Amino acid sequence: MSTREEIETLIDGAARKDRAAFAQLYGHTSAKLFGVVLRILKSEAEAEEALQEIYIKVWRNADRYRAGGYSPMTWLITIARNHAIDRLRARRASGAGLDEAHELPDAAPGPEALAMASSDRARILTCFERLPLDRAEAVRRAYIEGETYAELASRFDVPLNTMRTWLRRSLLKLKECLSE
Amino acid sequence: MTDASDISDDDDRIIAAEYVLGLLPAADRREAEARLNGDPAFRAAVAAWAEDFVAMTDDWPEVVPPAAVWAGIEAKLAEQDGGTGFLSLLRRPKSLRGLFGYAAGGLVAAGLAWVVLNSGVMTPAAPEFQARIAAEDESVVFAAAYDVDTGALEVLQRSGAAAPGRSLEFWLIAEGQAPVSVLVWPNGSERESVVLPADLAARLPNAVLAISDEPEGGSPTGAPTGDVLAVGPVESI
Repeated sequence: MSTREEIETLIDGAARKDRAAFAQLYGHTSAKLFGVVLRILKSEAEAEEALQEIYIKVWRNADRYRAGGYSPMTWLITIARNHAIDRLRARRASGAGLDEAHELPDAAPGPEALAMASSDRARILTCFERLPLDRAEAVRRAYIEGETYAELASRFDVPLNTMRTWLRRSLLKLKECLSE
Repeated sequence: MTDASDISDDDDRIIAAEYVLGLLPAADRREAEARLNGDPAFRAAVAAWAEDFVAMTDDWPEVVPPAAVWAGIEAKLAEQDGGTGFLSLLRRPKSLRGLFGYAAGGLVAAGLAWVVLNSGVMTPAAPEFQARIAAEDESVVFAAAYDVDTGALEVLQRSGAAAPGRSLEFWLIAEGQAPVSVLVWPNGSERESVVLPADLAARLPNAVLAISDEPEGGSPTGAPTGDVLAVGPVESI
């Protein structure tokens, strides 16, 4: 992985419509973004299509990067995650691929993943561990599967308002833990 | 340190998190996006959550995409250049070029409603309406949620099913209007999704969803013919 400054310089280059900088940005970051999109969409063909659309968005919106206050990889991964979630929700809305998406193995990290965790990841995992298991799972599903309050309420078989209260409390606890 | 049980709906930390996760209904999301421009504290809260959540992806393996993906991106950019060549003749200042990118992005969205926010990350929105359609004795319970962005009404079966040789049919009943058929439930399904025509979606506020018992395959007349088994008001989320 390249340094934060390198990626930032390349995003700035893309903002100036510098194609060479954009090609380099793709070279340095596409494997990470493709990994993220594949993990969310669980379909190679769809992930490839999504990745193209994501980099077109990156090209078009590169001049907005500085306004958000994100670190460069977070900005790129967030665009990729949001785009993949949009696709996933559209797929769920059309009813296609619903069953396969739900039958795939759970995405919870195994012990090896924990051992290799970066400090950021270790921090959020520690804070997740302080939440009741099902609450942590709900937050994780909202982020990684793009599940909505209605879907989470159905999954955990609680009324929607209960789900909302659960999740909000969990988010607040997470934030307090992360700010420690 | 705040007591998490003392939770307030307008706690900015929570709104920022819900925004990043894509849990806000479209109207609240637009409100949050409007605040991103003029409220640095809120913008910082959103960025902080984005950083925190992205850490969940830290250990996801990198996968080198096939070469065709980059070729496709280059082809799309070339196409875009061809379509907007007149702009370069005008030598637009950078900010206007950015605006054009924004507009062109909308054209490419092809049915998916994205909103471009000031940081360009395009956060998804959540459904805006929901209903719990239940029989008085809870023998039939379905949950429905409508997503404004996709135009889809998603319906989940909680309990109850059609009698043998019969079908459940869902109706949207707007105040003072005749029931409109929304969906004939396929027997055995647990979850269905149906895209509502815009004129039907517009009737959701203050409407009622009802389930009637119908001959297999749905009402032969286009209006409910059997018993109404369950009803539920449509509520905005």
